[in-house]
Amino acid sequence: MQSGFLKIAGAAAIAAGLFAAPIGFATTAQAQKTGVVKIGVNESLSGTMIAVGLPPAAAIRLATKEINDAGGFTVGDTTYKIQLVEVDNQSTTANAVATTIKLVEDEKVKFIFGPTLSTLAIQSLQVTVPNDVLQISAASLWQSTGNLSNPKQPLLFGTQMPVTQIADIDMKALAEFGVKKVAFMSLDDDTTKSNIPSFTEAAKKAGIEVVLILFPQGTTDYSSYVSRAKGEKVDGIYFLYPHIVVPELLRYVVDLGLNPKAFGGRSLDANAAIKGAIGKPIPFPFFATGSTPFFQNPTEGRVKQFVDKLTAFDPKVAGANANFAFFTYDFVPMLVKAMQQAGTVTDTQKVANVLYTMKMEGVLGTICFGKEVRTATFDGSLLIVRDGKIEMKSFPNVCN
Amino acid sequence: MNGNSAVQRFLPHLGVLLVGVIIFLLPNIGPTGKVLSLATTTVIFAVGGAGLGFLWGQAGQLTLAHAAVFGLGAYTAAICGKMLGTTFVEALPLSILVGAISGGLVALPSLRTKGHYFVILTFAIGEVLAVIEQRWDSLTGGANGILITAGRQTVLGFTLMRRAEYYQLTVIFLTVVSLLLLILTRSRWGTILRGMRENADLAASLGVNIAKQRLIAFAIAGAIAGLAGQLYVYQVQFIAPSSFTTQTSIMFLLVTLLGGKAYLFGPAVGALAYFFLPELFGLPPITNQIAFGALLVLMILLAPEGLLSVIGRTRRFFSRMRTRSRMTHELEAREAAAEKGGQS
Amino acid sequence: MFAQQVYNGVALGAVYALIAVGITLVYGLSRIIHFAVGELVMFGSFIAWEVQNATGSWTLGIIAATLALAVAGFLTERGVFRFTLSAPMTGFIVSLGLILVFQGLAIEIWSANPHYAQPPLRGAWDFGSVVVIKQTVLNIGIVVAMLAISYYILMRTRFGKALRAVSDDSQAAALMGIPVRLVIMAAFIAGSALAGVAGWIILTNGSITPFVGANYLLRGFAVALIGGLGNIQGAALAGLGLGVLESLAAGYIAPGWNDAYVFAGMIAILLWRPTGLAGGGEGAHL
Repeated sequence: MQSGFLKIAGAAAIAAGLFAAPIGFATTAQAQKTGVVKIGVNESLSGTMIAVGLPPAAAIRLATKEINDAGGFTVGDTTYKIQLVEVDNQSTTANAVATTIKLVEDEKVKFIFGPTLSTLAIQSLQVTVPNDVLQISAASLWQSTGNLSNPKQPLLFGTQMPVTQIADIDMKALAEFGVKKVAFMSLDDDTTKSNIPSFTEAAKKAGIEVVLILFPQGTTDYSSYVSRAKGEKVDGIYFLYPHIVVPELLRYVVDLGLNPKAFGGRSLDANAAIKGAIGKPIPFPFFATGSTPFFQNPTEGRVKQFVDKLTAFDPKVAGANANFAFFTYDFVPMLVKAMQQAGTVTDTQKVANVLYTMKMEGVLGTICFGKEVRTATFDGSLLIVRDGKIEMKSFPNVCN
Repeated sequence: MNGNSAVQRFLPHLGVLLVGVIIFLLPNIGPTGKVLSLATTTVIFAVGGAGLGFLWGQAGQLTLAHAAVFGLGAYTAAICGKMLGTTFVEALPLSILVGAISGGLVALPSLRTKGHYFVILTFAIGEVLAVIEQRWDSLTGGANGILITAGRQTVLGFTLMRRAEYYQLTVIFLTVVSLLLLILTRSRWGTILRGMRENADLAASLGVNIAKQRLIAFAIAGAIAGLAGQLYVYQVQFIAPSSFTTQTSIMFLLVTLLGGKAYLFGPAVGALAYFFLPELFGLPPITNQIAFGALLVLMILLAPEGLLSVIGRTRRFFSRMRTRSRMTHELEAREAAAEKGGQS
Repeated sequence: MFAQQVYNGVALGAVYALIAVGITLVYGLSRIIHFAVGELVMFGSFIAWEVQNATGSWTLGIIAATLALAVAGFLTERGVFRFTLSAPMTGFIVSLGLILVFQGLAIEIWSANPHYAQPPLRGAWDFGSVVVIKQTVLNIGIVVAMLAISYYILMRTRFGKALRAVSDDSQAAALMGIPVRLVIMAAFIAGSALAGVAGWIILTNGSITPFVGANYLLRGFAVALIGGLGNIQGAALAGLGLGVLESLAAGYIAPGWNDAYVFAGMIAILLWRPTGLAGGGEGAHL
């Protein structure tokens, strides 16, 4: 049976080799004092988490287009344009390494956005860190596993507010509603588990008792979990993610007669509380805290302007995870500015040195990176829905 | 005559070595990093798939728990590396052993169930193992997973952390595994396995201990899966609860059937198609997914015995054509001779 | 609390039972492990959503989902699965390819963002220890009706008899003059139509995305097998059992191990009674 097919296998191997014909890549030619800076985008453009990958990728495309349309940017005596190199990691860990290798080794990209998915972001490090790539991602696991505070990985930057800071804001908000016992509801996965300790800690500080109600991947019906919250006699619900189940969760809370003092969470879509969940305003207070502004309810001028711009640029962005667009948009011009101040488009450490201390005004407000943990802080906000009406509170940023 | 038959006897073995050498030389033609990385993944899945192909093609037993066994091998290597500080070489026998034992355990239900019920049972076993791998936090590193690094380790002179060299090391493993399977397939035991596959009752009546032989076949496939698991974990250097899902089990099945379960290098060809075809389309991600799915359906429908069977079929087709044309020639010649004879 | 969780479980199990009956029909007759059933359910949900959004009518939504899926069942059987009847494993792989295609199409048509719709019945009856959400009563009613119809057709009609004959031994059935291929095609159509109904029910439960299919698929198969192939009462019982188990796990213990309980239970039951709890057809050779 074998020998004939062995030949074929060999042929196939050679065929594999042929695909491998080296792809030439443009080096940043500087003869005419113009050049190109490659920025890599490693996102989930297909696969199960595509809804998380599309908004940040679209926001980067928009930011890049705006910079290039304005004529690019000047470093020293050269005017550069950004060339985006996008790779699709298909939302799977098996692809995260290969796509990062493509960016770093084949395309020689020095600056990478993503992956937003935590485990994929961790996997990409084995390629980016040894190659001195400056990498920016919203991945929350980067915070909890200490990558963002590790001095040996100085080129990694997070774009989500520090979890501890968010937790403090959120638990204080719960306390203000008079909540004494809260149910933390979230998907039972890596990201949730890495976040929970900070929230439990903050709740304790705010004098709130915590009941953990985690549902496994693939949960199809949430009534049992809401029933459990009711059985535990909680008077508040704090929801982490996934955001797509907020409407049905709210509906169950209403239908099963839970009547909490407040239902809230990070960056939740307030429309569910106004009308979406049960067709009319829900009968209890709802709040969403801003680890970002609210894509679905942009109240402020600059945020609204951005949301309109991005929705026109790519209508597919609007969805439950649209908030992820905020995690990249401002950071493209910020990176460009840092390159200008550092006077280099190749020396990532110099660019990072600028980023450590830099402050910038963007859609997110005043943005800066933390000193202990290299993740962004910006203006926080609290959105409250009472009887269908939105109130906004903002927390000034802690950059100084 | 004698020497000739010896050469003939070992021709397939030489063929395996040749294929191994050819694949081994890939880094020499300067592939891009992505191709090299995909090629490594391909080889690793070819190794794991070879185990499944042997079990399925030779012994006629299909298991959907193969990926879970693969995962156990990967976790064994990672946990030993992390907790006991074992090197690649030290962990290897352990991963293989864990693979063999768990692979053998999967075979146990086959004593009571058969046919599709057994296949689905193995699927359920795979799911249970996957949940354990995902949820046993204290052992599997929990949410943050396990990061391992090979540091400066070398195996047979190959530095694990260098991508090209690690690729070549995996090719060596693929070649060794293929040679072993080739020897097993051509042995008396291989004949017994195929006999069991064709007619288990008949084999039993001839005194074959079906349960025992089946268990051994499963253990061998499991050992290979365990080995592949370790190769995988040293490639990605990170393993998290989300690394092994139903998707992985399905991948092994796909790779094996796509290439052809009856062929030694079937899974290798299947893996090649699985990992490289989507790269070739160059379509937007979602369109790519649709195109790949459609192509998959088409390939399986047109070549249900695997891509490699197409070659066999084409060859048979041509040899039939040749036979036919030879026959026509002979006929014409004979007719011509008869005509001549008649004339004379 | 306990009664509440049991009721929640019954409502949940009803959906599993419905999907399982569809699976048991297709699998029992063709021996094809049709993994794209989850995607069919997903398509049913989206079609119901689309029609309901356009017309404002839920009745039209459920009818459209059922009909559209029946057509999809017909097309997939004619276009693909009929070529794989002699090698069911090939059919399985083909269904895996179809998953990629269906999912991709759904993303192209409806985007990966979640879709949500208000269920037709709002509110709940509060009985003190149990709160009964009105929509769940309607859903359970629909499932019971579908199962009853399926049972009637399977057990009391000539067509059902033919179906059972093919499931038991298709060669013998063919010899008896039963149009085996036609019967199998009908099973694909009916099984897919049931997936359409299930899709509608899922839409009343909550948000849908192009990825919801997988969640129902594995449970559907577990229920079909535990109940015994081709056995509707078995599927109903197993579905309820699984739903209640899952609900109680969610209410009292670590639900993260849900899948482990379910599949461990399935292994135990299949080892104890290899043809399922209520008995069903025996597995064919590969």
